[in-house]
Amino acid sequence: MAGIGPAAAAPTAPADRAERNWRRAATWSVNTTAALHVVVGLDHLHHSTLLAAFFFGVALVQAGLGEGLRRRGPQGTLAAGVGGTVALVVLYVVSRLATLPLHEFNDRPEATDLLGMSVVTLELITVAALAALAAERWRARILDGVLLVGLGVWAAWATGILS
Amino acid sequence: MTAHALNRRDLLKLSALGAAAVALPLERVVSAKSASRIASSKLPRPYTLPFKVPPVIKPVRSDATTDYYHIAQRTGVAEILPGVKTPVFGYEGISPGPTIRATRGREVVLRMTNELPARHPRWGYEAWTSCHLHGSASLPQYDGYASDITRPGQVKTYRYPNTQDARTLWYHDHGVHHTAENAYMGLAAQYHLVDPLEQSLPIPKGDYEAPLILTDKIFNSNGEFIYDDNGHSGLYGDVILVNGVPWPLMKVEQRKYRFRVLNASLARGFRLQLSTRDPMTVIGTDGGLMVRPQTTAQLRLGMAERYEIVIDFAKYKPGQRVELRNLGVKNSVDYDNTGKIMAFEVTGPAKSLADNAVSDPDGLLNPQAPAMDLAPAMAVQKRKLEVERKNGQWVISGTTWADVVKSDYRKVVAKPKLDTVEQWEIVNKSGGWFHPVHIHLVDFKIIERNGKAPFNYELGPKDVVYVGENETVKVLARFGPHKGRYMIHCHNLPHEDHDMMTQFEVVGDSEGEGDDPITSAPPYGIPDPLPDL
Ligand SMILES: [Cu+2]
Repeated sequence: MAGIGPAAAAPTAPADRAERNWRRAATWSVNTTAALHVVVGLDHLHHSTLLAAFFFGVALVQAGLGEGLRRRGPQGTLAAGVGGTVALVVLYVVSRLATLPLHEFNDRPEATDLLGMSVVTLELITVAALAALAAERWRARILDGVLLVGLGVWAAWATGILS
Repeated sequence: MTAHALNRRDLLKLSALGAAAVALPLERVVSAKSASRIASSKLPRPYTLPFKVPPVIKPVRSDATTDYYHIAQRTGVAEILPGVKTPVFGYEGISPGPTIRATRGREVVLRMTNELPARHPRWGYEAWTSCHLHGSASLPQYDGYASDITRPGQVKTYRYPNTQDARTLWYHDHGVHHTAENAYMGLAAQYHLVDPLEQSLPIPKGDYEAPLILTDKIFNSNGEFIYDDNGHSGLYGDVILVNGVPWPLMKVEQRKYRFRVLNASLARGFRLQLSTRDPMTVIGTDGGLMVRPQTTAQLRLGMAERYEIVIDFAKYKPGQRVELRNLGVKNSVDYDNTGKIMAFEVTGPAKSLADNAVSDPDGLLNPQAPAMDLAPAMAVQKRKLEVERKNGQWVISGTTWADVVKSDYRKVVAKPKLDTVEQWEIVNKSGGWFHPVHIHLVDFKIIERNGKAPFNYELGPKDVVYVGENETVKVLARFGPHKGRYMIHCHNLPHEDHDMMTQFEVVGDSEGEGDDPITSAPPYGIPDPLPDL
């Protein structure tokens, strides 16, 4: 990661460089996810305005987060970003394993496709990058939360709640 | 100052969620994609099991005008492979279901109870159903409209007018998004409409007439069916069933036999040929008898198409075996034995030579065959339908059934006027798949296939047309006899379910619209006790 961009020109503290790289990673992943969510929204538009609106809304919030990251918003932005992104990841997993009452005739989990997998991979990068950007005492708490959610998903799967 | 780095413990904390998000949905995909798994020793050798035909169901009662039937949709256990139990969904618990024999001019009232489990025991979907009598000009509320669903525990009574010419129909499930699984599980059967003309013709009948219902299945190691539709492009089984029996052997006498061939597969097209390469005589199509018989050595048969064919075994020696083979079609996956369908073994001289012709002495069958009088000049409207794959969805002229649902079932692709003739052009620009397109309500005449004449065996009334790779077909239909909304869809059932189905509406000049397909005769909870019909 080090040495990317113009940083090589002037001497910079390694911590700054790492910060800048994580920030780039976070901004890039969150903006790309926002764009992909627009695609997802368009995909849903022809059969459900509500679902389409949800994905457009998510895209808008993620674009906002991307802008916040670029402007180096407060620590709270990072925690909120992690929370929201983790919620999206969980929603993704649930929608692929369980049948959500999305419309009258919904009867099976959503299909696992390349688009969905790309989005969720980017979101995992976002979570990691946001955690890395957080101050150390925030980071520990954030990651404990992510761990709990992750274990919760596995527990729900193992006990058959998610199926 | 904060060090912006993730240590090993941090990564470990992230990995629980990361692994769940990547692995769990994938595990679902991998476990759903499987091929036929039963030991090949459990599969019968082709042409060893005896040929069978489904039973003919008796009406519960009959009066001066009507025959009343009750059929339960329920689970059953079939022994399709010798010694192996296979759970099925069946009309009356059997697959194929019982044959209904109806007479022109006598109405059939069919009460259907959905006694299926609330959820498919293996595939988890809700086993809602909608019964479609394919080939019948039924009122919209009795046409098996996909979203007019009867849920498990409900009952619906259908009425079939039987005012059309004699023909081979079939009743099968049409429940929205589950037509493929329900039909694959076994909800399909034939329905024969007979009339005085057909009965008076010297064509084979009775013992010399049999249905041939073709399906293909994939078996799991425990005998259950495996459903794998390859991302909704199609399910291709390695075991071919005729009337529910794998590659059966039929004993035949030295004379003509008439077969009501129905392709009830979900996605497999067939190209029939006799092992002797002798011609078969086609006497009927979807909408009944042709004007005159046609002979062909090969017959391409898309899903839901019916052909009545006559095979003459008179010239074969006793003991000789004649195979009915499948040469296969483009874009249907072939396995070791999918080139075989069934075999006939000639026993000896015929016990009876009555009704041993393919037409009347003048060479005619039904001079007034429906739709066959239509000519392009009669068309008051021309329309074009495009069948294609778009954004991962199967669509007809850009629309899907989801669009119809979203419009509160109002959206239509065509509004033909009652009793007028229209010319429809159906276009498949893809070389990657074929679509047998079914237009409900009407019989149509195929006038052109890729700018040329249709195959000779297609020169009869049709309700499904095989729109092959890069093919364009033109059909003529008179829209009626009912007003209302009716479906048009691909009869590749995974295509239909996802979501290659739309509708048209037959409209009148002034007064009122047709009956509503969903609200006019809704299903209701099965009463206990069930009253007499
Ligand atoms: Cu199709």
